Formats: sequence, C-alpha cells, structure tokens
Amino acid sequence: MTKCNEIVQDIVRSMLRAKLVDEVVAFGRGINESDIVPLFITDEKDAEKIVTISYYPCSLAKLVALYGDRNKKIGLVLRPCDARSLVELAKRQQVNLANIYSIGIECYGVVRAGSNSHQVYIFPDTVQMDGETKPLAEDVLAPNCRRCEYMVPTMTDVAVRLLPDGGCLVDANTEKGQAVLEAASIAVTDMPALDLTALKERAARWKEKDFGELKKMAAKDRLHYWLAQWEKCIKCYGCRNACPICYCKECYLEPEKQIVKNEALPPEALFHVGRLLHVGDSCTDCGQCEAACPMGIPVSKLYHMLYEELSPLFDYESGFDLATLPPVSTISDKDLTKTGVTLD
Amino acid sequence: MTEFVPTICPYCGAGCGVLLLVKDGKVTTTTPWAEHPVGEGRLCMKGWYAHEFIYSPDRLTKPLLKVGDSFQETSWENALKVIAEKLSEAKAKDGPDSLAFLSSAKCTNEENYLLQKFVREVIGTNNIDHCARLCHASTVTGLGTAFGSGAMTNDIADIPQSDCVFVIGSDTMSQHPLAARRIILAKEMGAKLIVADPRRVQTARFADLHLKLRPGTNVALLNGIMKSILDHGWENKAFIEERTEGFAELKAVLDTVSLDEAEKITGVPKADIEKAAELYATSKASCIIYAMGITQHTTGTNNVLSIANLAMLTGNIGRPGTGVNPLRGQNNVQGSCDMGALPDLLPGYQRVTDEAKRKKVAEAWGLPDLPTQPGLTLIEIMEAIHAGKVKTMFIMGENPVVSDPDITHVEEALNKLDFLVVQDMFLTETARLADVVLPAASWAEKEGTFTGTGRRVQVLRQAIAPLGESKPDWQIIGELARAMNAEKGFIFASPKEIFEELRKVTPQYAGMDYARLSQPQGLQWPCPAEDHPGTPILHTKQFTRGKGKFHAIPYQAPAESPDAQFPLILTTGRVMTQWHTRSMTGRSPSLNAEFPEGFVEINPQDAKKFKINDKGLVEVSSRRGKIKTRARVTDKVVPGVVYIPMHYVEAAANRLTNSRFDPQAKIPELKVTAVAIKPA
Ligand code: SF4
Ligand code: SF4
Ligand code: SF4
Ligand code: SF4
Repeated sequence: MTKCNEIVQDIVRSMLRAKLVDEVVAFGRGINESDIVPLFITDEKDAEKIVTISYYPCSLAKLVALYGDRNKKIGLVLRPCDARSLVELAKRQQVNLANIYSIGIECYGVVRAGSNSHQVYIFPDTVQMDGETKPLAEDVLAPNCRRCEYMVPTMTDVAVRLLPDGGCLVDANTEKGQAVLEAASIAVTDMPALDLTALKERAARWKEKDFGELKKMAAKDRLHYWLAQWEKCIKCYGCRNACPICYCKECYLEPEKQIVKNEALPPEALFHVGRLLHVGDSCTDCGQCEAACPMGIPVSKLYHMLYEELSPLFDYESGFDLATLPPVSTISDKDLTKTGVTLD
Repeated sequence: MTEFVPTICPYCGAGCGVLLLVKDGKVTTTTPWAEHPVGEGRLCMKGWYAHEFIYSPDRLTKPLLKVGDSFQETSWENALKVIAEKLSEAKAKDGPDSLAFLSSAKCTNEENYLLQKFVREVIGTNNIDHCARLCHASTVTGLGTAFGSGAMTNDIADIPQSDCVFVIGSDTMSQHPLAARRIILAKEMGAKLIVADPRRVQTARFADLHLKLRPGTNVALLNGIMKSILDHGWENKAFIEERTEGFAELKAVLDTVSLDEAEKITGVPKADIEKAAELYATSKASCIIYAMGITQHTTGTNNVLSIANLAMLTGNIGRPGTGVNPLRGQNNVQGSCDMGALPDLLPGYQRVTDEAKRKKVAEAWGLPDLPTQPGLTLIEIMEAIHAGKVKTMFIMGENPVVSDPDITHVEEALNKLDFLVVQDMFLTETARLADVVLPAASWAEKEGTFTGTGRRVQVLRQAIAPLGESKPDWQIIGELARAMNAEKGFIFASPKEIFEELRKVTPQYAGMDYARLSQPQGLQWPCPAEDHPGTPILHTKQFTRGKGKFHAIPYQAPAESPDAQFPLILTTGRVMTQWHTRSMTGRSPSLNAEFPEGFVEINPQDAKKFKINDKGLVEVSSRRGKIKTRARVTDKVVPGVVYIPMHYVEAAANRLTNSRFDPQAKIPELKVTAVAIKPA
C-alpha cells in the first residue's frame, strides 16, 4: 500500500512547499510500523512518516480545535467521520474552516486499538493485513464503522480513494482542493462514484442489530440495560475527552459545576445523560468515545442511537452543511455562560 | 513545534502508555497511547490528567537550606557540599550504619539502582529501603519462598484468558483501573468473578460471589476454601505430585480446619466459602488477583503463602489465564525492588548474605566486597532513630510523614535526626523537616525505565527540560557521589549508560537494552539474553525455585482486635483520583476536585449505635492518636468495620494505624486497627 501513502505524502509536501499551509496534522509512524500517532508536520522532510492505514486512534479535528493555532493555516489528513466532526466544530466556532485545507480519505471502516493495529487496509469487501488480502470479516471493524454510511469525504477539500491494488484516485471537492492538487501537480482523477449499495446495506444491518434489540425493549428494560453498562463507569472522562463534539472549555460534568456529584463511583447516570443531551443531536458516530472507554461501555451506540432518532425529527444531518446549526444544543460560547440551558 | 512524546503514566503499577503533547517546549496535555499493550488507547482519570502537577507553582526549582526555622535558597554546589560533608562526617563519627536511606518507587530503575549503589559503595551500609515495604514486602517474601520469584506470575493482558477471576483485597476499579478493564472483559467473555473484600468495592458489583470477610481474616478464608476443595476432591493431584513439595504439611493443617469455624472467624457464610472453592477449583483456568488487602497485615507473608497454596493446590499456575497476580501499587515499585533498593537484597533479589553473589556484584563495581549485614527496614529505621542508632537520613522522593503507619512516631523520629536530606519535586510534609531539600525533576523531565506490575520494563521518555534548576534524581545522586570523591562508579552521561551497567548485575535484566525496551511493548523479565523475547508467564514448566513449596499456615488473629475501648476495626485504602500522600494529585486540579477531602465510611448499624450522622463531623481514635473527619454512612462497609482513605494529611488515617509488622516481611498492619468513633 505504499503507493497511496506516497500520494498523500506528496500532497502534504506540496502544500507545505507552496506555503498553502504552515502545518499539517496527520497520522503517521511513531516508534515502529504499527505505532500510529498524530503528527504535526511543518518540515516537508517529515511527510514521509504519514500513513494511510485503516486505523484512526483519535480525532484530529479535535486536536486542531484544542491545540492548533487559530491564525495559522493548517492542513489535515482525515477520515470522513472526523471531517464531519470538523464541520461540527466549525459550527461551534472552535475551528476556522477558511484556514484549514482538508484531505479526506475514503473510508470503509477502521480497526480499534488492541484488535490488530498492524498494517491493515480495509476495502469495501476485502481487508489487507500485513500484505495479505482476505475477504472482509465485518467483526474486525470498529462497531461504529459497521453502522457508517458516510464513506465518501464529500466535505473535505481533497478526496482520496485508496485502491486494493495499491493505486489511488484523487479528486478536488472545492477550489481550495484544486489549489492543493495544482501545487502537487496531481491531475484530478475523474473519480467514478462509489457503489454504496452494499455498504449502505451493511450499515442498515448493523444498525438494526445494534439498535433494533434495544428499541424492541420496554423503556424500563432499556434503561436497565444502560444503567447496567454505566455501573462499569470509572468516570475517567475518556469518552468526553475523546469526543470531538465535546469541545467545551468549561464542561458541565465537572465537579465545580455541582451538577454531577463528585466523590462517587460509578458516577450517577446524569454524567452520561448530561453528555448525551449535549452531543446527541450532532454525534457523528466517529466512535472515539467508545474506543477510549476502558470499561468497554458501548458509548457510541447510545449517542448514535439518539442521533438517529433526532436527525429525522429535526431534519438535521450533522457534519455537512456549515450553515445548519445543531437543533438541540446550539451551545455557542454565549449559551454556555447561561446556566441550566443544556441540561433541562 | 508540536509533537507527541510517548511515555509511561507516573501513577499506578499498571504502567499504561501515554502520549504527552509538547507544544513549544511545554507539556500541554496527556492522551492515551493507542499502541501500548496495557492501556490500548485507554486511561483512567489519573492518566488523562497526569500532566497537571508538572507546572504547579509549588514545584521546587532551587536547592533549599534550613537556616534557623526557615529555608533559604542556595546553589547546587553549596547544597551538595553541605550534604557531602555531613554524610562523610556522620560516617566517620558514628559509622556507616548510623545513616539510613529511603529510595523511591516513583523513581526510575536507573535512579534506584544508583542510589542503592551509592549507599552500599560510598556510605558502606545496607540501610536502604523504600515504600515497597508498605505495600508488597510480603509478596516479595511470600512468593519468593513459595515459587522462587516474588512477582506477578502472569500479566494484565492475560486476565481475559481466565475462566474464573478471584480478586482478593484489591479495589481494582479504583486503584488499577486498566487492570480492572481486563477483569470486566474476562467477566463479559463468560468468566466467573469472585471478589473478597470487606467493602462493596466497585468490582464487587459484577461479582458472581462477593465474600465480605472481616479485615485480617484472609488466612481463615483461604484455608476454608482449600479445606472445601480437599473435601470435594477438587485438588489437582497430578500437579501436586509433579511440581510441588510440602503438601503433607499443608494437609495436616487443613485437616484441623472446619468450615463452621472459618465462617465464625471471617463472617463469610460457609455456603459461600464452598461456592468459592467450587468456582475457583473447577474452572479450566483460574487466576488470583490481590493487592494490599492481603499484604498489609502482621500476617502478610502468611496471607501471600496461603494464596500460593491455593494456586498450587489446583494447578492454577504457569498457564494463560491462571496465576498469582499481585497488583503492584506504584508505577515503579516492581523496578525499585528489582534494583535492590532493599536492605537485604542486591539488584536481582540476590541476598546480601549470599557471599558468592555479593562478591560478584562487588567485583562488577570494582570493589573487594560490599556490606555483609542486612540493613534496617523502613519501620526499623524509625525505631533505630528513636533508639539513637540512626542519626542521619536521606530520603529520595518519599513522604513517610503521611504514608507510614503511626505518623506521630515518624515525625518525632525525623525531628530527632542530626541531619536529614530530602530530594523531591515539592516541599512535602517530610521535606519541611529536612535540613537540605534538593529539587527533583518530574517524570516528564527525565529519561529512564519503569517496570510495571506485569514485570514489563518500559522506557520513560523525556518530554521537556527540567523546570528551573531542578534535576533528575539520577543526576543528583551522581553529583553527590562525586562530591564525596567517589568518581569512578558514578560518571554516567545518561540513564541508558546506567542501564548498561545495571543489566550486568541484575540477571533478570541481562538481555535487555534500550533499543529493545523502546518498543511500545517493552520487555517482560526474566530476559536473560539479548535474543530472549522476555517472559510473559512465569513458572510454566517448573518453578523458579524448582518445585513449588506448600506452607502449612494456621490462622492467626491480627495484632489488634476490637475491644470495649476501641470497638471497631479500621481498614485503610485509597480513592480513585488521589495518589498516596497527594503531593502530586493534590496539585492536579482536575484530580483533586473529584475527591477533595477525607472521610470515614461507617455502616448504618454502627452509625446508629455510635450516634453518627451522615456527613457529620466525627472523631476517630486509636491507641496512637485521633483525627477529625466527615462520616459517610453507607452499607458499602460491613458492620464492625470503618474505612478511611489514607491520602489526606488533615485527617490522616496513619495517625491511627499500627506499626506492628509482619515478622518476615516487616510490613506494617495498615489494614487492621482497633478504633473508636464519636461525633466531634
Ligand atoms: S459521542 Fe462518540 S461517536 Fe458521537 S461524536 Fe462523540 S465521540 Fe464520536
Ligand atoms: S459541557 Fe457537554 S458538550 Fe461540553 S464537553 Fe461537557 S458534556 Fe461535552
Ligand atoms: S470512557 Fe467509559 S469509563 Fe470513562 S467516563 Fe466514559 S463511560 Fe465512563
Ligand atoms: S491505570 Fe494506572 S497506569 Fe493506567 S492510566 Fe490509570 S494510573 Fe496510569
């Protein structure tokens, strides 16, 4: 798969060289081939560390929102769910999209840490692991990925499609994207539309599996299911810390706010319900919360389920149109200073 | 410039990998290190906020010298000169054994190695110990005698392979959360879970069986379980026959045990004891996980030996999913023991009394011999100060004024010293009593190796330069040694060079080097050769000592029992977001806010009897002292028992605790103290 790494690396190098961006944030090699860490690249030389394997251990959009320089131009290599999170962060004024050049990688699913983070590339119906190609067994995918129906990065400036033979196709979605490809002297490929039928069928099937049973339960039993899951919670704040929609500098879950009691483990249900109310309408089902949960609580299932219920009600699709604001928790900085707004 | 530096969490022995985000030379945040085998991209709250104390305004940045009653800043040169003079003088006047040193389980292997070398070579005494004495000294002695190796036999990552997990005396979800993750995983994959604990700890909520034993009755419980196993013929006869010795002696003791008696002593119903025996003995692979609920007793070694008995009786050792797994508390307490920061053991658990081994270490250091008499342990050091035998003390990164039992006694001792040096990041309660305080660098400011509880040796990486004039402990020790004219053995340009030396004298580490250790998974000892892959599971074919040894252990009551004057049993423990004496977590705003103050848990029945209201202020007293704290009336504790977390100096449980210790391990009985309680 080195060729696709190379094209993305080329794009990054060119963006830096052409001074389109000051810095690029992407996943790359850390200590060894399978150690994948976020890199902040300012020197073209380091672009060779960038990898495009199907593994995505944290939200780069959130990293940029928290630690990126607001007035710097930043390049980002991300997957569609994170690209959608980036849009949601922009709606909440946490990033300035005008300063961001995003390179999106078409994605049919990623694996989780601990499952097998070696050289794994996932394609619509095959998987390559350490060079060996096998039919895709869906259970290697992270649970949120099985439910995903947004494989194509339509919301990024540049879209990259990796092909099983090691090749790759590149397209520009925006003018910024065209500038990037020009700088890299890459001809825009006329990317054939991806046949989404099978992938959407997969998503529907897994949604039915993940949510169906819960929905069939009586409300009381469903509550019991979640209460039992939350019994395991150690209040590590990992789910919140990993979630790109949880951007607040001052979070309502913290002890000072006196909404969720401290000195109690597991925390009361409000800890989870509070976050649910805050992010449920915009959850991009990126799965980062669940991947960060030490106790294996299926966190993204909960958030995504609520999102799925709210989305048609409000006709709100999170992560696409910058102009449509989240329906329930339009927590702008201003709203945050009002008390109680978000928890009733 | 912005980059993530992979390194190791400075809190518990689970040893999770973290990534420190360093932006323009400053640590900005901590995130999980996905590729690390312990956390696999997850952390507990301590891990997520491990960076918070680094820039605390309380950090010491200059050496301090006590002048009159207050401290004055001084230069390194002067501070080291003063210390070198005082130490040399004390050594010349009262002999090397009048000095005592505390090393630190929070420091790296290299630092612990160097300090014990300094103590043995430059001072010429074996008076070196550290807080491992307070947590797992009895593991080292107990498992050492039974198996030949006093460490966790399996690994955290191995727990999900188990069919029955027996957790005894460990509040795993609070104290080793990323080990608890694997217990929950095992449970969800169908394993049975037994939890033995006087409190309804969070893990107990998932237990198939919660044995609420009275504190200090572990041996009675374990003997009861073993008796029941024998009664039903569930023992593994082939394993006993082929791989162990001493079974007859154990059996003789078990023959005298009755389950009714066990029920009476432990408070655990006989039926539950039998159920536990069945679950543990008849599952395909059963493991035992334990912590200080087992070790911190006057019978600590016996408790550990009983656990070893149980594992051997059923052949649950040496295979995946089995084993005897002490969860070590401090991030590097395994390493500090491995490095010989102990009064009777040289690096690699080689006895100072074993002439051949001692001489080999001496030879490696270019010396004819080393001190031959075992030195004093932590509690004995305090006694020796009171007796006027120890007059000078040097403490690296420990805070005995809060962490040790009977702290009134400890304070008196430290005040009595002629000269005290403390090396720390903060002016701790102990540092305040010092004559010279040396500012130490934090975990983010130095390099070295830490050995986690699964015997996993891993590299700590430097993320930023030491703050102010603070220095990594290894540098300080090196400079001090040179100030005392010990040039040769103490010139190291980096921790890596120290490691190259220490692996020559520590057989378990012989095959390790920084290149291999730098991989995310590190290496698990023993790793005897450079091409050896490390050892995830101990005792697979035979025990380290050859045959596993059973010990006949009759039940013995704790040193203190409740009586008319002190009618309740106090047991101590910890809360999730605080660490030991809070010198780090108390300065981490996010962590401190979760559990900001001390409390005492008391059962509603006892609360009624002693007229205690929930949240009311109470006075708790023992034979040694009294404290004021707030009550929490809860059925989390069984009647007759109260529980206080040990962290809070304002309401220090260790004002009350007993320093009576286990005769072999010299570990004090922090888990059982007779106390009285009344509204304040
Ligand atoms: S709630 Fe979970 S799945 Fe949803 S956006 Fe946040 S991290 Fe992603
Ligand atoms: S206040 Fe709500 S949305 Fe903001 S970080 Fe906290 S839980 Fe997330
Ligand atoms: S990540 Fe899991 S354990 Fe941690 S706070 Fe969230 S739900 Fe609780
Ligand atoms: S479990 Fe232990 S090592 Fe892991 S993050 Fe928590 S305190 Fe650190």
